[in-house]
Amino acid sequence: MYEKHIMICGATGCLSSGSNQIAEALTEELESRGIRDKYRLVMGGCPGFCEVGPIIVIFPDEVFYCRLKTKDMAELVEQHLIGGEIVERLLYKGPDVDAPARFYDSIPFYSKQRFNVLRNSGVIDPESIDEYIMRGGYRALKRALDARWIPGPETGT
Amino acid sequence: MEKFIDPCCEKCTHTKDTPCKDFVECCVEGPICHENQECADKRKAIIEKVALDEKFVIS
Repeated sequence: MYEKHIMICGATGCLSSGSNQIAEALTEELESRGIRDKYRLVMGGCPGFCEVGPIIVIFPDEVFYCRLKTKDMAELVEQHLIGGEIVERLLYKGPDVDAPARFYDSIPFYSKQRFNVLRNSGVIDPESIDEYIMRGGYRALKRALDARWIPGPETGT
Repeated sequence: MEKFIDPCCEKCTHTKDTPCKDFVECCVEGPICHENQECADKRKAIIEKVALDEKFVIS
């Protein structure tokens, strides 16, 4: 089991603002310190707040970092992942918050949203069917198929 | 068994040509068609590799 899950937005908006380079820089930083195996790095789904990309969300700490640069990765690794302290300057800041916002519930853009269909976005690896199944994937399809009415000789129609 | 799609043992009959109707439940809660702790542990190992905590799995 990994110590932390680091979800790097891999969707269009963040890719265009450099999330691939962020992922590479973070991976290099972790590898250079010999701690890459402790962390699960995933290029995840879109959290929806493209204008503040690139975005990284760290679980289970529930910390939302945004507007990241490759040069921030050393500090993020040193201070947060190793030191256990949030890098406040990389949190969301804006005219709609009084203080740097740590996670979805304190960021006004998200605070009145509830993800239903997209609840797994940014939580699982979008390229892993196993993870999708762990999070309830295909269950609704299974229920629908189990309950379907099939006309034909077996049902007497 | 590195992925759910892999058979846990020779008793698993799920293939693309002979799909098991219980495959989805079997991934997380299986094995369903037979009892075997080793087979259950193989599924658990796949889950524990990526599940952050017990809330990660939604069955």
